[in-house]
Amino acid sequence: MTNDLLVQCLAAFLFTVGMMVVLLRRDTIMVLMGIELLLNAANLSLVGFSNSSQMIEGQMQVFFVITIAAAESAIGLSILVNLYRNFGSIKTEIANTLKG
Amino acid sequence: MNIMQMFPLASLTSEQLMCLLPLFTISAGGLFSLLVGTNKSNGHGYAFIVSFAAVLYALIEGCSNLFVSDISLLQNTLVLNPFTRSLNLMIMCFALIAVVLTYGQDKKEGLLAEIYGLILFSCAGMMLMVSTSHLLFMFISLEIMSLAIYVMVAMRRSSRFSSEAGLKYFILGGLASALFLYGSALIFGSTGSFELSTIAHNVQMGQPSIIFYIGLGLVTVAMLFKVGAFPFHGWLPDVYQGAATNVTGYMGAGVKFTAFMAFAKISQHLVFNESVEGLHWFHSFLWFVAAASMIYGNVVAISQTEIKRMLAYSTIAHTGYLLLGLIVVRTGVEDTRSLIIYLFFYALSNLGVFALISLFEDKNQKDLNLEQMAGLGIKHPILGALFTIFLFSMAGIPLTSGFIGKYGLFSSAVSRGEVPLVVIAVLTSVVSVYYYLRVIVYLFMKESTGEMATLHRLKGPTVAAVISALATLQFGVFPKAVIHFVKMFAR
Repeated sequence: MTNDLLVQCLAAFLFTVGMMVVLLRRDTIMVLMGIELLLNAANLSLVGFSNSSQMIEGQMQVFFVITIAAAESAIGLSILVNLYRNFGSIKTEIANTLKG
Repeated sequence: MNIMQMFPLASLTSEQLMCLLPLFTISAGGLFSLLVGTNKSNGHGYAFIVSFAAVLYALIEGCSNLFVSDISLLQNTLVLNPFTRSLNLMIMCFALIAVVLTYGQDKKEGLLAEIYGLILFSCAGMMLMVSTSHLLFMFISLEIMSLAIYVMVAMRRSSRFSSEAGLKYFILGGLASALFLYGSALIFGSTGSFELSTIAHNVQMGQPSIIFYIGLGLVTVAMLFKVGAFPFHGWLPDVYQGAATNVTGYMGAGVKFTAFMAFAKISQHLVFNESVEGLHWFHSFLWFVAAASMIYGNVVAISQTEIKRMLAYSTIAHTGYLLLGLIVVRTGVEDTRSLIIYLFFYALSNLGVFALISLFEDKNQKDLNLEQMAGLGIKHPILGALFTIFLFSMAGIPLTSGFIGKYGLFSSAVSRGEVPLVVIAVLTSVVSVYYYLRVIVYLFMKESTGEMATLHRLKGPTVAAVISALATLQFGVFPKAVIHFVKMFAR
């Protein structure tokens, strides 16, 4: 197995783990970390591809993605604070007032 | 490729600056309105004035250099030609109406003055998104738009519904963005480019690997999440109900318009690239998603008793009709004409109807029940008439703009041979007339049994509703102007 393939497999594995965390965990902090893991798996994949094809484009874009991930987690945490104020908990199952 | 080739550090020419001026004005106006919004005594008023002036100035600026020569920046990453400039103009129109709609509504719902800045930031993201055909730039502008919208949805801070809606939208939206990013990484890995036309060219040259198909699948699913098509619609009704009504109206107009234009760009380059084997699977997949969205949205909307939730399900049905329009977008921008006309008219009546709902809602109210609306049309005949115009337009009844949009969309689909899907669309839109008319029956023909919704006399939503109603009627009776305009730039 070459290094490039290894990196891609690792990225795919991390993406799957992140997806499972987002879909299965009931704790919103964990869900937030799952979303971060998804973005970082994509970053790893981009870096791996641009390394194997000797193009700098992919690596450049990773910096933008890291910035966006930081902004996204800031907004996610502030939404969590607001959720805790209104419901007194941050478990996902308490937020079920909207149905129909 | 070295770094100097990628970002040539030359300064912008004056021509390029002129073309980018609307974008700069919107962004700077957003920042400035955040600044003046901190004023203790009249922060909301100042923020409104600044953001309104910024969008209006950007709109005038955009009109004046609509047909100057094409500009492309960063090696075709950002392309400004008459087509993308006109899409930007339409987005700025929605933002202008949304700013007007928020005035008055902000104090009633306890929204912070920052909402005006957020409207402008998301507008800037939308403008970037329709102007690019670079997958990662598309991701960045998608995030600029979505991050502002997440905050706007969760902004009714003392309302449980709003924070719940914010959470749901954030988690599912974040998931969709991550899918988009990983999908574009895989496409980059298999074709060596982020630029849509280069990807299409490379795909035609050699047989694409399985990684390309996986990447394309992930990107397609992410876009279907963003437009709210059937199997990926879970967030949509809750977010429509939980967000403040002015935010719902802006979301339904702006986000849908932008996501569909970007989706059309991706699908016409990659999905409907006829020289590639194996892509007919994507066509069948989109076909089924479109049919399922129409049927599901319309059938579920029948049983709803709350108006915002009903409109949310009808939005899923409209997404189905728009996907029908998207399937026939094959080559060039000519095919997108009927899609643009439909989206523009739909967005206008969407903004109008949510403006009217916000007039009748109390603070932190979840939704307006149909029982509460009984007899409102008799008590307030003018507002009832406006309501009727918007609902007729959404149902696609002649003399309103919705009819023109639907007619154009369905006839272009028939001419491309999508007859079975058009039959489903026509039958389901007959179903939709039932639940739209039921609201009108409640407004004018039912006696009020319980307590009636009280009218809040707010200036902003009233003005926004009147503007949208005039546009809906004007373009419904004399559609030639818009159709001619769209034909002029989409070629």
